[in-house]
Amino acid sequence: MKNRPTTLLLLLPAALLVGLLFVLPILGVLSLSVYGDSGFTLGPIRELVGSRVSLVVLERTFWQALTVSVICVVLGYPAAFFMSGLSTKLRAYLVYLILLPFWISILVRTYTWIIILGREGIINRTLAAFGFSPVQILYTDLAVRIAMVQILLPIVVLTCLASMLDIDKGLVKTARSLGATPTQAFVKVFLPLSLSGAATGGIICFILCLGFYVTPALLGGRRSILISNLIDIQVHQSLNWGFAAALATALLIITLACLALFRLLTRGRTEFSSLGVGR
Amino acid sequence: MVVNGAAIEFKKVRKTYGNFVALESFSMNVAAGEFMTLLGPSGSGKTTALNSLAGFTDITSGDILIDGVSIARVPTEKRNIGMVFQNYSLFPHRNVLGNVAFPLEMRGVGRAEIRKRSLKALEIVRLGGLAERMPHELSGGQKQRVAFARAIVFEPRVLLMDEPLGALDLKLREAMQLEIKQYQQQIGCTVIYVTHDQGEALTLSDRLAVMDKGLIRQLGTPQDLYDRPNSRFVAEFIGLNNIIKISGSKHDGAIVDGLGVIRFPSEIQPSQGYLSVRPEHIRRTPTGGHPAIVRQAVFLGDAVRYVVETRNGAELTLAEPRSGENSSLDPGSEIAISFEENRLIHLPE
Repeated sequence: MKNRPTTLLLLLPAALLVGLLFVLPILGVLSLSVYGDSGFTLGPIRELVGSRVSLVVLERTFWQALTVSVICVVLGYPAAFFMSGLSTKLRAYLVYLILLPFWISILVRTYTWIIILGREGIINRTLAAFGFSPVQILYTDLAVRIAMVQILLPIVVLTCLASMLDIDKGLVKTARSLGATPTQAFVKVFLPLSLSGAATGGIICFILCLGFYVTPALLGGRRSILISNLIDIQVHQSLNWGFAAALATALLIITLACLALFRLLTRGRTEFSSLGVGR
Repeated sequence: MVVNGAAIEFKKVRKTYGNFVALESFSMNVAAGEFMTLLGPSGSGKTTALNSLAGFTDITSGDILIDGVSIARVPTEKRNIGMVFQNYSLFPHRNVLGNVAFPLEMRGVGRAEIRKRSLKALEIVRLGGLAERMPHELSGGQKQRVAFARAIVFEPRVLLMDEPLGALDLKLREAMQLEIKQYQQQIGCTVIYVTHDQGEALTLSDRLAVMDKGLIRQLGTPQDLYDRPNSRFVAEFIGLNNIIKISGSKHDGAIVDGLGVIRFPSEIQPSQGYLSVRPEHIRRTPTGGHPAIVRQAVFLGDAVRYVVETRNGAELTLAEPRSGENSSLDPGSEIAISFEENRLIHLPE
């Protein structure tokens, strides 16, 4: 049943769509980075390696993605843990609340942060009311980070929650009956079993961060731009398509490398059981 | 691995959930090293009793003592009670050895000692060769053995088992019953075992308590409960039984529906309640007795079970051991039956 030609046919529309609208353009972009007007060239790649700006932006993009992902997991995991202990009905309401921001466009949500973080914004006016001097948050990396956490947190919470709901609650009870304190039961049983969900949430968050464009463009200063903004500048302002393609290729390769590293680290995680005693 | 079982005492334990009474005035003494079974239908309170001893459930009132010391306020992990669950409840992220080692790790036992004792426990359940397997690579019976090894590895003096064989098929269940009994006798711990399977309860227990609606209906040895049930509920729950209503009495016996006057082996003949008689205590007689017609004959291999109807409409089941190669009676055959008089039981309710 599984591999009958007719069932494979069902895959065709989606496969065509992905092939035409995703794989082909990507290949086009990839080829742009090594093919110029005069045929094969390593020019754009040489330009990339020699460009201090792009290396700095690449590094910043990674640093932002990493910190945002870590903050999201650190904030999202406890929230998901709290939700996993609620009644189904209450949990459904909370999931609804968490999904609510998705009804509002990222653009609007990002502009909202300008109102909050700006020089005449809520934070600075509150500070002024207590006699403090204003702080510069808007147009810094921090502003970009705050907004990205806000946008991505729901995804991490829901991924963590899904993996937690898969855990048999009886296992924690069992651990207690076998001599584990509530803390030990959490650390030795619940945490390892929910770790894969947290890691998945983190990695999804990380990959989404690498492609952020609107948020750094609006909330970041000149020195907070991320790789997407740099690519945009190359395409729209410098009209240096080859260089833009080289940047895009670098981003793609590094993203895939991160995924591969993640796979490598988590492979055979279950074999590392029981403090090595079991081995 | 030998331990001294602990004595357990439930003192008027009561547990309510809102308006629902899960356990009512539950009192029971379990001797050290005894195999006690709580038998009853679902919702009878047997698992609540077990959970309150394990510490998963706070009791509403009453007290529970282990070796004379109250444990009502002791947290679960300090009670030092082994527990085996129906769904095995193995940790999926740990291999077999890691699962069995868990209770010892929690008790801060040294690494070499953990390994030694865990392997020993696995030897007892004959799974020494599977120490490195992951739970999902095991069969149901193997999982159950790992769960058992994990529950005894820290040498608890009390072992609780909540329908541990419920998820296994019949043949495996019967084999595991014998193993459990054997391990318990070998180790010496006190066992409280919860099941709704009366056959299992009769096979395993030193004593058993039949529960219904949060109450103990009868507590005694398997033989006590089989031979002398004290109520219709117990008589119906344990083994196959004929239960017929008594509608009055005469000087020489009770008037039983559909059978007429039946003499009980007691001084005073009952005038109400029920007559209870096991199928193996009803016989076919060549002369006298109660005339009846065979309605159904069931071939059981070593015996034949007949469902018969007396002339006045009482339906009875009787079991006749098979001797030789004589074939069973056909439905419709007319026979006469009589009772082993000293095996007739009067059930007041």
